[in-house]
Amino acid sequence: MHPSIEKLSDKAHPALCGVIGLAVLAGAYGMIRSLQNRTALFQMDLLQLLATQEQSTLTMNHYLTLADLKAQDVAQFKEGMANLAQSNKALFETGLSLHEEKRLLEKQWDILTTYLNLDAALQRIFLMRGDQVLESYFIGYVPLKAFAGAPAVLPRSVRIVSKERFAHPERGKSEVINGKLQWDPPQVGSSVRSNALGEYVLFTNSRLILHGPPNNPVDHESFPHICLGLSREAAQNLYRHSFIGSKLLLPGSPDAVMPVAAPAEASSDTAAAASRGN
Amino acid sequence: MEPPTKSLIYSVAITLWLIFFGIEIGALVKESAALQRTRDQLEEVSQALNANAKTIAGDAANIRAQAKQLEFLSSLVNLIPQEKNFVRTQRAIASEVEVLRRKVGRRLRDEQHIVVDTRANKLYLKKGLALVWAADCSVGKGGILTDKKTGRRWEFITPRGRFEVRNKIEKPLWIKPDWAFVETGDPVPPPEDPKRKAEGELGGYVLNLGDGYLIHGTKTEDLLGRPASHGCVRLGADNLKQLYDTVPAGTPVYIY
Repeated sequence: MHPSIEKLSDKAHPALCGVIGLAVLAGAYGMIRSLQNRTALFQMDLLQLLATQEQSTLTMNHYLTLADLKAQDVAQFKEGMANLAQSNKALFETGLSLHEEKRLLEKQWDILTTYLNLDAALQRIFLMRGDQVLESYFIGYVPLKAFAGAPAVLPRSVRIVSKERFAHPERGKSEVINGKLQWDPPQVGSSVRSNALGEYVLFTNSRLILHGPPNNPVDHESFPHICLGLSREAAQNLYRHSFIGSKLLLPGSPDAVMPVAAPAEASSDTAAAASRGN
Repeated sequence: MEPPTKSLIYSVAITLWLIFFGIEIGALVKESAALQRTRDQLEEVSQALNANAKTIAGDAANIRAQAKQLEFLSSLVNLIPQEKNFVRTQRAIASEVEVLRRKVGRRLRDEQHIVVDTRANKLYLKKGLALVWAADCSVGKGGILTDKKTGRRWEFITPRGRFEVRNKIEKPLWIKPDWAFVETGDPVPPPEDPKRKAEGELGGYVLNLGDGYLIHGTKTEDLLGRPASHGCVRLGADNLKQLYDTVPAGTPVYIY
C-alpha cells in the first residue's frame, strides 16, 4: 500500500474524507449538468436559428426569382418599346410618303387636266379642270380682235407657252457712235411691248395673247396680236390658275376674230416689238 | 478496525472515487466540447443569416429600382399617344392614291419625267408612277424687283406647268440679264458687254426648259431645300450631274 494512503488513513477522519469526496463528485456532477443545460439551451437556439435560416433562404430565393422576373419584365418592356417605336416610325413614314405621293399626283393631275375654254356665245372664258368649271371670266372682245395686222385666224386649240407677270420691255439696241458704244436700257414708259400688254400676260403658240388692261391703249392697238379684252382681275386669275402647257379651246367659226387696223399714230418701234412677241 | 483492513478500505474508496471523478471529468470535457460545437454552429448560422438578410435587402432594392424604371418607361410610352384613327385615315388615303395612280398612270404611259415641287423645293425623277430618285432643289424666291431708273419690274417666281428639256449644255456660260445688275445696284451694261459673261455661276451643267428657265447648279448648296433662285431650278452638283447624265432632251418637266 502507498505510504500516503496509510498516512491518510491514520490521520484523516473517514467520514470527513467521505463527505469531501462525495462533495467533490457532486460538484463535478453539478458542473456537468450545468454544461448539459447550457448546451441544451444553445441547441434549442441553434434549432430556432436553423429554422430561421431556412425561412430566410426561402425568402432570399423568392426575392431572387422576383428580381429575375422584374429584370425580364424590364428587358421585354424595353424590347417592346423599341419595336413599338420602330413600328410607329414605319407607320409614320409610310403615311408621310403616301401623303407626298398623293400631293405629287394631285398636282400633276391638275397640270394634265387644266385647260381654258372660250365660249363666244356666253362672252366668257372658262377655267376648266376635266369636265368641271372652276371659274369663268367676262371677255371684252366678241368676236376677238386681231390688232395691227395680226392674221385674223386661229386654230381650234392653242397652248400657253409662256407667262410674264410684267410684260418685259424688249432689250434696247446698242450701237457704236464715234467709236463709242451707246447703250440705254429699255424704259418701261417707252416700250411698246410693255405698254401694250401690261400685267399678267399669257403667251400662246399663236398670235393670241391673254393679258390685263394695257398701260397705253394706242400702243396696245399697234401691237400685232389677237386679244380677248380681259379685265385685270380675269387676267390675274387666269395667270395664277393656269399652267404653262395648258390648252385653250377656241370656237371655230370664221367670224370668231375681227381684224382691227393699227392706228396711224402707233409708236415707231411697233415692228421691232412684234418681232419679239415671244 | 485493523490498520491493514482500514488501509484497504481507504484504497478501494479512493480508487472508486478516482474512477467516478475521472468519469465525471470525461463527461465535463465532452459536454464542454459539445457546447463549443453548438456555439460554433450558432455563429456560423448567424453569419449565414446576416448574409441572407443582406442579399434580400439588395434584391429588394434592385426590384424597387426596376419597378421605377418600368414606371419611367411606361410614362415615356404615354408621351407618344397612339392616334387610333391614324391607320384608318391612311387606308382611306391609300385608296385615293390608288385611284390617282390609275388616272395619272394612263396619261403618263410609263414615260420618264421630272417633277419639281415648288412648295417643298424638291425635284423628283420618275418613270411613269415609279420614283427613281429625289433631290433637294431651290426654286424662285418670289418678290418683285423694281429698277427705279427705268421703271422695269421683275417677279422672281418659277412658273408652273408642263415644260420639257429642250437641250442640255455642259460648262455653261451665264449671260447676266439686266435684273442681275439692277439687283446689285450696278449700272446695266450693253448686251454685248463682257461684264455680262459669268463663268461657273450655273455649275457644271444646264438643262434648258425654254423661256429663260433652266435647271442648273449653284454656288450656295446650303440654300438647297429653300426658295432662293430668281425663277430657275437650282440643284446640287452631284444631283445635277446625275440628272444631266440620266435624262435626254425632250424629257417632260412638270413644275407645280
